[in-house]
Amino acid sequence: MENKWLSIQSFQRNQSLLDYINKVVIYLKLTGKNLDSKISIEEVNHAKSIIGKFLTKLNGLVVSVENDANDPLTGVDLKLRSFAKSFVDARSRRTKFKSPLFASNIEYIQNLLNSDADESRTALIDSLNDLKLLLDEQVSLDTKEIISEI
Amino acid sequence: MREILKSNNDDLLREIRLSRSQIHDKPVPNELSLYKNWLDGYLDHLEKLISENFYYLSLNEDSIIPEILDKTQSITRDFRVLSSRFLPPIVRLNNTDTLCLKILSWLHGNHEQSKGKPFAVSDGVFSIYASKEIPLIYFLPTSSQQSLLHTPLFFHEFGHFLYAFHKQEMDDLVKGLQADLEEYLIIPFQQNDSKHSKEKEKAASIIETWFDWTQELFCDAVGLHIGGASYLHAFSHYLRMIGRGSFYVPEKDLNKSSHPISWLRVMFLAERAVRYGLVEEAKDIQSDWNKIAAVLGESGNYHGYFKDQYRAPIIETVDKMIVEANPIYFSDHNLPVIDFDPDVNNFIQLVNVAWTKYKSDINSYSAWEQSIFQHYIAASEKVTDY
Repeated sequence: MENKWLSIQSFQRNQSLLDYINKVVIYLKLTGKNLDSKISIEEVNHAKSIIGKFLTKLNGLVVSVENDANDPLTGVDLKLRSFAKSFVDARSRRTKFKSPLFASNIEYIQNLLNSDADESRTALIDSLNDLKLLLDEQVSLDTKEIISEI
Repeated sequence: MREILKSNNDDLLREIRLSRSQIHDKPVPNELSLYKNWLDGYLDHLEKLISENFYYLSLNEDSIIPEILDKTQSITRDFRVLSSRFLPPIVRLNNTDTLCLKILSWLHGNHEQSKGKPFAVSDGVFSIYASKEIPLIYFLPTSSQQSLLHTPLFFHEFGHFLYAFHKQEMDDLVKGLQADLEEYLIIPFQQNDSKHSKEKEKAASIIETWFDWTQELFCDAVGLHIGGASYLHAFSHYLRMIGRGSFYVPEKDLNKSSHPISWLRVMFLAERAVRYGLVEEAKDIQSDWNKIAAVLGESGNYHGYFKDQYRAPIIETVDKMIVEANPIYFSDHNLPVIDFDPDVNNFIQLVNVAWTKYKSDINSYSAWEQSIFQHYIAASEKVTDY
């Protein structure tokens, strides 16, 4: 009676988000240089929509933590609660997290996801890369919980 | 960097091909065929991702090196989890899995949510990889694989899958419970001094902890709902001798814990058991746990993580969760039987007969249990030839 279900669900969620982020970033970088990414626009839009939904959920939690760090985060599991708190902490680690995702608000990034403007491209790539850093930290913990370290 | 990436992708391909050959020739019983097909498909998926990496490397485009690195790391993590947790159920397959697989297949077939869902069993403490998107893996200790007495604990693990299947509705119900707890715990704090701030922090911890605890109580309720008295016996026997931690947990460890204290779980189980008509069984289990607690000198100190005021909203929430998940009900399947006939009776009857026999005559129990295992192994050998 261990909570392996929580680690595997978190692992799956984070791995899948990382894959979607990579897909969008590779597409943006390669199409920006007129190279074939072998990723269709439908795949990119699907990936953007999944990332957007995750950001919407995250935004509610982040607003709550920023409003009062002692308020409980309800309706979400331990892993998401911890991710939301890490996100808020990351806002104060400006040397590592420099993108608009942490300098601005999450809604701004959601707008970038929906924008086709060339000038949005760099801001979006930087923001997604910062999000990836945080996800990477959590997925490493999930992986350790599932398979341990050698 | 390109050389490093190429080398690791090459190695992943090699390992994937080795894994494929490991499972390819392994005959499996019918219950595992969906699982084996899923594994095959997932290995294909990983191979496809690696071939994408080779394509991106061939572009000689430096700007995407970080993404190729990320993708390679992601595939590596996926593969490590696959090879260490998802391949063993096929590679380690042995005869003693037969009955577990049949019971789980029957359980899955009786629920719309799990019909046609690939699943497997593997070694470990009782737990599950529960997800709507990937196959379920049920873990159980090797000794429990050869006995029927712990089998009802699978019903608890199945509860985690039902939660995952109805996740949004379940999360909303638990959020409702947390709002009730918030009324008890947070609203009284209006001042802003440090004492109140500390109390508010603890209240928040209690409310957040109940998110995870409620899922466990729901899974216990599913276990009881499906297994009836057999679940009560299995739960109690499995957990009551683990140690003081089943009765008391220090406050610092309660914060962010994933499971309620076992004694608390017994209380909620007994309450539900009475409502399910298992009055004597409920009385027995509570009495057993109270006796152990008395010897240990424990009186039920939960450091505010449980109070009597929480009881009613918790029970009400779990009741709603049971309605949402709609697991099979033991009394619809557990018509009284004196002995078990595999051709006539079902597995709910089997686990309940097992506990009745065990409690009435421990000495003859093992031989009877062995005969049941042999029956299913022989029947399985006829159709699967493994």
